[in-house]
Amino acid sequence: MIVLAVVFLIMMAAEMNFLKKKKQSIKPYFIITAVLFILCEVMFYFRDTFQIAMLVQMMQK
Amino acid sequence: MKVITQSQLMKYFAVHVFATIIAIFIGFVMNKGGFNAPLAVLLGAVLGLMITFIAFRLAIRRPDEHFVDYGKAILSKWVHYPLLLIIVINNIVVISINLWELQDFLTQFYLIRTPSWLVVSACCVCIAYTARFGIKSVFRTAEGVFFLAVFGMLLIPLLIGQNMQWFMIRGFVTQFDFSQAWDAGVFLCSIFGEMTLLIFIIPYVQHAQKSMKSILFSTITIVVIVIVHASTLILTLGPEMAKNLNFPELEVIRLIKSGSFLETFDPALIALWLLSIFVKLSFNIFIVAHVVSHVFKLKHYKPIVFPITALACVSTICLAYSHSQYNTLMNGGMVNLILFAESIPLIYFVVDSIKRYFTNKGMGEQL
Repeated sequence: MIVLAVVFLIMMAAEMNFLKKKKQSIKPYFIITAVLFILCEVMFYFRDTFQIAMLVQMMQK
Repeated sequence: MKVITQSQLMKYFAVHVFATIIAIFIGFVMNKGGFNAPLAVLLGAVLGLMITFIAFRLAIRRPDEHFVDYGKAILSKWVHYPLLLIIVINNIVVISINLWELQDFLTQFYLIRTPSWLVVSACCVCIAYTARFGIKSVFRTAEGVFFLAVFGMLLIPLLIGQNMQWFMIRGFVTQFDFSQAWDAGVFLCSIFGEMTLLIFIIPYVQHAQKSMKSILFSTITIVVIVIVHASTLILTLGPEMAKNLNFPELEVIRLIKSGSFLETFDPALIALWLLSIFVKLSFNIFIVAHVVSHVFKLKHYKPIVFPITALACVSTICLAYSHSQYNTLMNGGMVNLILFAESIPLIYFVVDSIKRYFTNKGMGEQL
């Protein structure tokens, strides 16, 4: 989970640099990245008890 | 803006579909279809082409606009955005399935004892970079891979010829079973139906009105290659053995002895498969980034490519706990979810056609 956080931090720093060069607002990109980060962390934390396969099978039922 | 030529479009979709079927799902096709696999390929291709045709008819009505933007004018935004969410989820799940199979394959045969998360991460880095370079680079890569891949794919049956048991050829006629072919056909339709993603890239395509012709050519190419491969597998291994192997194609390739220079032929072909799958997955990542950036009205899609790829990477790790769970998923609801997501343009097409009919009728009455 810490590795994931570090990866997202590096990605965010690199993309901020890209957006600054393009003179774009960082806010919407930051929100989307933050949401994706939380989603990743939650999925990774519950990976032993919850799998996407279970979700698809539940939807099928 | 118009950066994709018709030739690139044809080559890309050919690589997209036949790499998926041959490199990943040929075992499933053998399992479901048996001797009827070639018929199933034809059925799947026809059904997939029908879905793609409807998506194309919808997209070509507004060739310079993005589906994400005009979709809310057809259905209201309250329906449009949830449907887009289903498309995004479907793409992420498709990427996860392909990556799961890929890491399973690599950790079983080539990267033994390597942690699966590391294999998935390494693949994701390649995919993310290709996607970040843009749609043009994805299609150019596919253009480069196409001839190599087709050459490699057609070379296998030629080199394997001496191992084929030709007496089994009568099984194609005597073991005819339409219900078996239908099962495999529906499964293959979900893969051929991925060509509906065309709807998202129509504004980038030159001479977009000719796109269906290119799709037809790529479908013919795919059908020929997949039928040749499925028949080769059946004639070499037999349907029973082919359906019980996880990667029957690899076993067939390993029968090829190309002399002392290269002990077996598989590393070269595996490299081609990987390249083709990477191109396919980067396109799926691009589509997700494209949809998200248009929904949130972002000027650039590039900054969200890496986070989306990270999500795909984590969802691959969380896809299934074991092989049995994965097989249950693939034999259960997965195909239905994919087919539903691919049929979404059909809803838009029907509603748009009804709206156009009543608008034209109203205008006619006013005149």
